[in-house]
Amino acid sequence: MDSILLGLNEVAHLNVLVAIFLGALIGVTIGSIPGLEPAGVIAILLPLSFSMEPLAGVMLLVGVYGGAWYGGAIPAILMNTPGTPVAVLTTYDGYPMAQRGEGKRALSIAYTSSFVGGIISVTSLVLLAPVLAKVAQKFGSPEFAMLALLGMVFVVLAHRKHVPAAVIMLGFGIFLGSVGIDRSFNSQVFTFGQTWLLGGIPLVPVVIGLFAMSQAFVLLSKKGNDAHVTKLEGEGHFSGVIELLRNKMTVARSAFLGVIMGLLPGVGEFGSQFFSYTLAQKFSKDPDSFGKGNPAGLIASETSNNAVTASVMVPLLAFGIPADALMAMLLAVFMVHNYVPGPTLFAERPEFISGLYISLFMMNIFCFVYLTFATKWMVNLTRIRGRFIGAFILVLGFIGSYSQNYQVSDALIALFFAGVGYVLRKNDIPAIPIILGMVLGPVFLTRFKQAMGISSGDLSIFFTRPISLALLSITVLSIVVYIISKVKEGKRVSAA
Amino acid sequence: MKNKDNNSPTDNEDMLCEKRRLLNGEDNFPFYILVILVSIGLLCFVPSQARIIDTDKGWFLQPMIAPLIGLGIMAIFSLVMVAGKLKEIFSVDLKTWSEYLYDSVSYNRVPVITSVFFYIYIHMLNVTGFFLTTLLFVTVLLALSRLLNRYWFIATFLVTVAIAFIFRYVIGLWMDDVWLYEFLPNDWSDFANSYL
Repeated sequence: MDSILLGLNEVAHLNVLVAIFLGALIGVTIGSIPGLEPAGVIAILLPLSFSMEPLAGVMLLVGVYGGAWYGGAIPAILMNTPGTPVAVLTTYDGYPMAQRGEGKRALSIAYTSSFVGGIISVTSLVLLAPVLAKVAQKFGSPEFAMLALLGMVFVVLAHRKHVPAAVIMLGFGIFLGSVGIDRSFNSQVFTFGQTWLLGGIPLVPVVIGLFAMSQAFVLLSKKGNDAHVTKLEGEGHFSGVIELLRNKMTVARSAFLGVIMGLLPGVGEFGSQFFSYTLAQKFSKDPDSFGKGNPAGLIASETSNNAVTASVMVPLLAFGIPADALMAMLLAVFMVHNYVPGPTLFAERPEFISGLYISLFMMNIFCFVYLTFATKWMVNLTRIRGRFIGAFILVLGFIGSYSQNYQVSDALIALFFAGVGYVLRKNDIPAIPIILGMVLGPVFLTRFKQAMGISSGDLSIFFTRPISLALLSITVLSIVVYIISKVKEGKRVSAA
Repeated sequence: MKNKDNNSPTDNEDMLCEKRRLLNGEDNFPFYILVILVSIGLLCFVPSQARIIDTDKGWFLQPMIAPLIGLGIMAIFSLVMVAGKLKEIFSVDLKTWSEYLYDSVSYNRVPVITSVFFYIYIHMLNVTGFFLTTLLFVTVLLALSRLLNRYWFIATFLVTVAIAFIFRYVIGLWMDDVWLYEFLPNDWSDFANSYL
């Protein structure tokens, strides 16, 4: 009870409340504009969040992240165009429903599913994070090194179709993370004598370039009229609740999968969504109607999406290990305010943790209520031209990259990585492993060096400690399973 | 039996098409070749840019470990990606490569031109100030993408005003003094340097 009151006290500040609602509002808006991804906007807002109070800064970014998944359903259902990449499966059943004149009903189902998924996700965060934080108390340097290694391997394996490309990008990220001053001997690493590289390659301009400005290039390259005119038809603004009650098992299964997938680094929304949809179809009495406007498909997709949003924070809060690019950005916010994620955060800042939980609940409630009543205006956002948005993303990208250190060199770094990001997008190569490599690479190496220092250079320290051995075993097992599945796939293809 | 010298024009065209397909195909070979060149190039700099430290505290503390891991992964896996086609890729002549590069830049001219304008934009900021430079920059981009008309110009003007207000006035984004504002009276110049 005390911690709830402490949390309420933490949330009851105007700047925190504004951050929660503003973040969610921006997120919902971003989600409802096709082609505009939340990662880019989060990257632009990152430097702004540094100047805010820790909870306000975190909630601004999480609000955009969570809100975008809600808003992404609007163009997915009304235009057959996913507002966010994870809304792909929402189009399968949402759009056919809209074509039948059930647009409002489909949106209501999507919002209610997202809300239930989001609330279950926050509840899982409340229940799991403290437990895992206690487990983390037993962690030493070898365990943290192996956890970082596991995180990197999971992120790579999550890009199933592009694993070798993801490995290369992870290597690139590890290299970028190594540039600057090596703390062990104060020697320069790949600075080429440039003073602006002494502090290392800053994360924020890299993120802004890779995710926001590269997206601006894509938007500016569009030709013709890329605006969409959509109409909201049908009845049933509140029919989502009834539909969810009819599909209780689908909701429970999808939420469970979403929570579990959120805990695994790199897997996130895509994995949970596809698993949930496939299972919903498998257990359905009418599997043939999936993809033709079955509400259960829509429920599976939207519930599992949003069930990831809070559970993905568990590894970050409990162990200090970010599970995806957004969590890497959140880690930067934590670090700027000297909040070190992990067991000590739970012991030293209980008011922050409770405040975060309450804020996440509030964010979900706000998104649900706002969208239920404001969708008729939100659909007009799809009329904004992509090229107009793209031009202003570049301006905001400059502001975001420059404002952290007031250095033009940071804006030039962002420009360079915008080019890199554009090339990666064009070649269908994932950029997320670069960020994870930049963040987890140094974590792994620092902990590895510490562990080796403890053991006087004996590598057996990683095999003789049970938790470290278990984590290493999971890492090796994951790689082996992937290789076996690839070999089997190759045999199947050659046999066919 | 045919040899290289007495190929018919049709065979040569086929070979050229095959080479172009190799470069433009879904396997992204040019990208991986670039990664190989960059990573091997950077690996050559390891001895000078991540020097070996004479220490008895352990090999694992050497500063070169992290860049070696990163660059090593990049080089090895890129080589794996092109391994099966290495011979064919090396058989691509310089002319085909230059044609490929020209086509790539031409096809992606919007990002290239936009990057040049962005570079100019960030260097113009302390000459003409944030507001005016931003308005010009966005207007030029809209004109280049054939979106500029009265409606979108007004929208650009209003959004630029909003951005300047939010970032320069509310958040207080600091910028260098602007050359153009020196020509204004002192009070105006101070105001413009603070908020525009």
